[in-house]
Amino acid sequence: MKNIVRDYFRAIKISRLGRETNGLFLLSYFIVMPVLIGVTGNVNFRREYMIAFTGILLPMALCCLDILLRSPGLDKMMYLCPMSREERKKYIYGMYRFGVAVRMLVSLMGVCIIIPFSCCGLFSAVQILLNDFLIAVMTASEGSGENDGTNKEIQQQILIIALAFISNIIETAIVADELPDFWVKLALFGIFVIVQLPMSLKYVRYQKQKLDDAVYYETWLRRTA
Amino acid sequence: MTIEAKGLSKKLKNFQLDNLSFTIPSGYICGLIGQNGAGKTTLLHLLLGLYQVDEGELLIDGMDYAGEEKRIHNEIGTVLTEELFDPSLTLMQNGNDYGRYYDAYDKKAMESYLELFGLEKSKKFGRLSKGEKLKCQFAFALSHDAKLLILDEPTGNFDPEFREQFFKILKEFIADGSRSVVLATHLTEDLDRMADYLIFLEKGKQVFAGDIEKFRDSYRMISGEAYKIRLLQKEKIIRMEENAYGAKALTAHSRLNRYDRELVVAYPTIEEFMYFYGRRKEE
Repeated sequence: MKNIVRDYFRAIKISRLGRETNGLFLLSYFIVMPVLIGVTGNVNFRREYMIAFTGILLPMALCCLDILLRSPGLDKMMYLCPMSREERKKYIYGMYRFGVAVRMLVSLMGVCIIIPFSCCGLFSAVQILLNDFLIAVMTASEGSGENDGTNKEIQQQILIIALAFISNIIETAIVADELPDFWVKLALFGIFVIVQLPMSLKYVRYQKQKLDDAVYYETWLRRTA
Repeated sequence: MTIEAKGLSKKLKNFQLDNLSFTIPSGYICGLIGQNGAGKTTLLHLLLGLYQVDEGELLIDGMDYAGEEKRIHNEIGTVLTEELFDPSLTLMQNGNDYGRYYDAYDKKAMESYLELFGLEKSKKFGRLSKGEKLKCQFAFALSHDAKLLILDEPTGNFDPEFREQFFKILKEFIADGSRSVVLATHLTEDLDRMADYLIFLEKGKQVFAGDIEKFRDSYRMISGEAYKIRLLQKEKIIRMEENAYGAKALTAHSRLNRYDRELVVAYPTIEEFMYFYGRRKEE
């Protein structure tokens, strides 16, 4: 456990922000986010909004950043270290699950900030956590922008994150007592079940394939070439 | 530690390694040579288990990667041209981090090799020069009781003083007869004096694989008058080059060959062999 914690934080590489696919992804996220903030409107910097943003959107941004700064694959030296295929697979999946747990912890801490608001009921908290979970289970796309498979994966990621983001923006408004809540919450939940969840389940196959490819150096190299 | 390859083939996107067969006995230093793009790194990646064999068989001390990957990797020490260590960690941190996966990693051995190579153990790996990084990798490779060293062109970045030390360490490494070294290098003069076994690749194909004595027995460099060289059997002349002062030719040799007394007949150096053999199809 101590090794996984240490390796997890050591796996962060700032240089990954320079990669083409990550750059495109970040660019789209940080263009979409301010535009949507403007569109949802009525942001007049009230204290409730600031706290709601901090509790809801900041953890989301940190999750995305954490995903982008690490690779699900291993450094070349790890493929040379004495490990059986099963041990390496266990290590990769263990690091992945630990990463999901860390991101969800950050998300939970964010939710704890907004719980004191009387408008943040259990439903809002769960909705926010579910949206964050759809992002927390992602890993950075690998490979060049010329790869069709990579492009499809990035498109799916952007859609999932954008929808989760919109949903959380609306939750922010609810928590900050700007919107009537019952029908909005029902609509958000409906969108989650009908649109977001199926999209994420479809994305899972990319995810699993990526982690399985990371078990062997050769398959990982082919993916990231 | 012996390495056996039979009909080894590997197809990559733009390259194919085709039908390699060789047996590197235990206690040998094997030189792996070839022009750029010949397939040396691909072969090393197969020996390291980074690539999977498409066809044929590869056994390291009787074990194959499909069933015994962990055991094989435990016995191999590696120095590659890429930087394998984490640049943000110190040399000892890198050694200890990766060393925990090896059964016989010795922290004290790592410290003493770093000291011997003039490296500061508390310095960050990222702050070393290229040559120092390779020395650090070499120190680590020696620190876990490896039975096989696989080295990809390390010597080009070593200073002359360290190169001597490097080769002395390699000789000591194989002295007990149970360990082996595979050294890919362009500095063929080092192999001329050190290597016991040679593998020469050209465009993914095996030109020669065998012990160095067999290599030397198989070829000759002939110098002298061009017309006298042309009197030799045409099919034996691999490549001949003339200049104002005479001619030089690489020829296939057998014990039955006889040469004109006025011709100078010598064993080819590896460099001469690579040069002449590589140009054999030129007019």
